[in-house]
Amino acid sequence: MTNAQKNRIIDKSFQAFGVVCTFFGLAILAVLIYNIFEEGLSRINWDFITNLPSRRPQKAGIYTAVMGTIWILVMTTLIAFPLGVGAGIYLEEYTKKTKLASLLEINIANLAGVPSIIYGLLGLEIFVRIFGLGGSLLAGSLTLSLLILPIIIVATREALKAVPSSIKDASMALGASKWQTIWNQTLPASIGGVLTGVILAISRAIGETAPLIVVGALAYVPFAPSSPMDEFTVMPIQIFNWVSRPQHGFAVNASAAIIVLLLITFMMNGIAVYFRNKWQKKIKW
Amino acid sequence: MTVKEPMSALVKNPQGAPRKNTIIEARNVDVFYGKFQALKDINITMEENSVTAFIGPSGCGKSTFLRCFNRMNDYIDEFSIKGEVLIDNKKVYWKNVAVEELRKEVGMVFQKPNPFPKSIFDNVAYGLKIQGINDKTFVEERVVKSLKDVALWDEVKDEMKKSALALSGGQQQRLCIARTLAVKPKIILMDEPTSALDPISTAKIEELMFELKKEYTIVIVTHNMQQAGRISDKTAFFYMGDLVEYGDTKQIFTNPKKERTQNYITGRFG
Ligand SMILES: Nc1ncnc2c1ncn2[C@@H]1O[C@H](COP(=O)(O)OP(=O)(O)O)[C@@H](O)[C@H]1O
Ligand SMILES: [Mg+2]
Repeated sequence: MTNAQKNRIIDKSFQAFGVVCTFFGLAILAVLIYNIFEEGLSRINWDFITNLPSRRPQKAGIYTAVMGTIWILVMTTLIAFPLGVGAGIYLEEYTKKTKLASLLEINIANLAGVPSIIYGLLGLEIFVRIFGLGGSLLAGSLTLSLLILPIIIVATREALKAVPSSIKDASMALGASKWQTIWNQTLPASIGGVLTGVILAISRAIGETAPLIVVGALAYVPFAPSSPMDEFTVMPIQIFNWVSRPQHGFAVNASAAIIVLLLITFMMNGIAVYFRNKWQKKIKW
Repeated sequence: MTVKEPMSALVKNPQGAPRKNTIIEARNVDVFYGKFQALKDINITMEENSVTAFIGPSGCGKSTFLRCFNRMNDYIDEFSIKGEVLIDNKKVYWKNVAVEELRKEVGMVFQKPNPFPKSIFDNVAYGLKIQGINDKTFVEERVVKSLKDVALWDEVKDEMKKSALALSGGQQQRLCIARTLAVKPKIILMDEPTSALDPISTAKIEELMFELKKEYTIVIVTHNMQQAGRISDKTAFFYMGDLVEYGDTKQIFTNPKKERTQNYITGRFG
């Protein structure tokens, strides 16, 4: 057998291996989704969305969990968006490229990989105990904000880095200050990338369970929260709670809630993709 | 650049012949990138409404020197400068200088055309916008005037809202010049402004410089000897961080005093 033939065989077998891997992943995903839809789809109706929790599975709804998730989503965005984007702008545009700066950069990238339960413990100590916020929405949002800040910072910096320095030079050379240059040139040219990063980070946050449980989110909350200091639950915790019940009715409820959560996540990812495409189309250097 | 002393345009010298004002002056300028010395003890003066060409092989410090006049070197972490750079007799590197003000006086055109990813109009109006000038008719007049000055108006007057990125390279570079003119600087620095352009666009920009020189002082870096010969009044030849020779362009090109200059302009090295 010649070398070329050998290479061709290796090539082909690797390709086959890749195809098998891909289909394996897709098949499992398909089975999971099929199972969940088969079990839960018929359970989804308006009452299911708007009912409060109940001991009887047929009467139980996800209203408190949905509202909790929405509160968490909005508050986390309000906290993490300005902080993350601001830090990203500062690190990318203002700091000098010193050893300290690159050390900081590596550490922030590493923070993005820290297990979320660690953030939960940090939040428990700082927000719940030291700040005395208890198991409130505010404590939960602050904790999730910590969790996604590194992701937002890294995404912001990547987006800013993609703006050519010639544009910034042109702006500065016309007498623009640094901030004017960032506001009028760098940010508009990178906003698509920044928003994509922020949305993906937040869609990760709404799927998180562990850190919120640690912080003290409850499995059972009788009413939807009405202020940032209220107790709360979120959809993943509600699902977790239902799955662990013995009655089959709750398993059906869990499946239905998973479908709703999946829809929300898909929607957010869709919006992120939309921004990214719009951004890529507009800016061609 | 906060205080402006009044200064008459022309000062008579003792012989009675009109002598132009010095507008740019460098005294014993040393520039370092970290430990590397990019410019060595540069002394030079340039007159108002003149065109000065910087020539010399790549890496000899032409861009570095040019960027000392509008302090575009400030963002290089390792950059440091000794000596004095004076524009209109004011110290450019004085600690209280507002860099933004300086750059309104000293505009810059870059090697690669770098229009903003905005409309043609917004590109030219940008410098005024960041100064907080909102008077619509004033801005419009200034934009039109600037585009006319660079002979681009006739080509773009019907599509001012179009993206500047849709223009050809030569048009983009003229737009970048118009953008600089719109803030009414006194000095325009050009760093190899035609090296990315085709010969026809290059000719247009050279032609433009003859016109601009009536109102502005121009300093241009060029690798094109013919271009330096055609458009400049004075030529400065740099070599490895030294200003080897500086004088009237005619003299530099026909009768250089230094052998190194001779070798360079005749193409024996470069
Ligand atoms: N940002 C920088 N950091 C370090 N060295 C630089 C930097 N910019 C230029 N230099 C060095 O300074 C010297 C002069 O560069 P430059 O002014 O760009 O030359 P020219 O424009 O004449 O080609 C070169 O040796 C170059 O390597
Ligand atoms: Mg150069």
